[in-house]
Amino acid sequence: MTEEELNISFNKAKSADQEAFARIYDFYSEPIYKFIFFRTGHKEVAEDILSDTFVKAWLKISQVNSAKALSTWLYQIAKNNIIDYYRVRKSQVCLDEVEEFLLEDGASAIDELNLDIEQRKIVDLVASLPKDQQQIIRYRFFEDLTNEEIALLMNKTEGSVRVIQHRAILKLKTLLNRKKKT
Amino acid sequence: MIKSNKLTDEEIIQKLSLVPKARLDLPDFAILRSKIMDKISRVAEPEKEQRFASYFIGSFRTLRITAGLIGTGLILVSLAMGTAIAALQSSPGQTIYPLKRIVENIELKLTRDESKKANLQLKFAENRVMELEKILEQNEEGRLSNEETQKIVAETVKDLQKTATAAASSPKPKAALVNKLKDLNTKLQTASINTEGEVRLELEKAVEVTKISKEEALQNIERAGLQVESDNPINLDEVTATGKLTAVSDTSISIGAVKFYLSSDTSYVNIKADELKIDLVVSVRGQTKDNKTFALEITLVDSPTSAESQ
Repeated sequence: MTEEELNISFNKAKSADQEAFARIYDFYSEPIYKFIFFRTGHKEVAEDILSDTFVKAWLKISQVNSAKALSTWLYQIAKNNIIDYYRVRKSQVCLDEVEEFLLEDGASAIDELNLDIEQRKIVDLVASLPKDQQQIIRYRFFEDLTNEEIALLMNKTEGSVRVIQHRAILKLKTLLNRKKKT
Repeated sequence: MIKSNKLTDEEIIQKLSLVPKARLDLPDFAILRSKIMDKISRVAEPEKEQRFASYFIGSFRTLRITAGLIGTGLILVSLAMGTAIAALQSSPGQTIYPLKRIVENIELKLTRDESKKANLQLKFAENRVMELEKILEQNEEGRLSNEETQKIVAETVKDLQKTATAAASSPKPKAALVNKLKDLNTKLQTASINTEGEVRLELEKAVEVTKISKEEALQNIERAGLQVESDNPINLDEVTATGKLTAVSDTSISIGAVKFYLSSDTSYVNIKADELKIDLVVSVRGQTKDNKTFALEITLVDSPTSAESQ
């Protein structure tokens, strides 16, 4: 879908055009599903949460100001639904703990079985980065999220996300170059 | 020239981008799509931007009501009595409910006295809490879906926030208001126990709102200093005072410059005699006799520790 087509569908969906909303679903369903699946690790659960996400999106679409804000908004709804899933599943889990589960309980976004030696090295080093840096690298390079989407998910500004990403790259560079020496 | 073996930033980024992504067993998005669109066609239309009157119109599209222009009486006259009464007893989700909110708002607009306005706001806040309890009951009984419940709870909590905040910021707060807000806070905490997910989050918001409103009302009482009112203009010997205790002894208490003597006839509400101490906010009903004012009833409104522990 082009940007213009997305704009048209968005405006129509805001006026309760279900067909237009269905086109928005077609455009975003796969990336949002993947985002949910990587955090829950279960296909059926991810399907249910995806369904809830879009039904909620339909009800609240009047809150979105522009088509550009759609993707970050959908990720936010999905994230909140995932948090609710963990709260219900593990009852009374606090929000900080849920962020941990999002990394531990989910599925890997990368094809672990088909990494070459260099790639394995780099993935292992990513896992050794400080939590924030690790999360941004995963979001950006393994899940293909934009800096804007990452900023919203991590409650940071885009500027902070870029700074942290840059630091992560520098750190990886230092570690990789150190390994090359030995 | 020896080429450096060291990786550059761009090379690191490239390596990261080339890490193979997991091959997921993706669902059939078309089947999911039809399930979602089926659900959507059964729920309400997306929320529209709400102007004041349009929120309450609902199915009463023929009534062009702008609050403040038509008195409560006129609305009641223009409807069958049964409808009016049903509206005032209705709960969110029922088609007649918007009329209840219209009537409440007009009642508020027609009230000039600040203190009566605060009482009305409190009454409406109480209505919202009762409505929340009804909605949760209906959800438990399966008469309302989780989605509908969550939507109604979210809207009701938003209204509760407005009314509780308005009641608490009255310039002439009364002790009864603080106790009422405390009471609503407890009811909401109880209601939230058996809920989950979005509904629970909304109720937790409501608990927080009533807690903050109660604290604000308390601060207003303290800021207003001693308030001495005569509830009974005929009997000038009776006095009611609300404020912070500034002195306490075995035989008397003081709120600022006003001293109340304690006697065996003094009764205590929410507190025991030996628990009286400086800084407690109390409401005292007293009677003046032989140039002395005796405390007939002392009611604890709140204490510094109870506010902190919540």
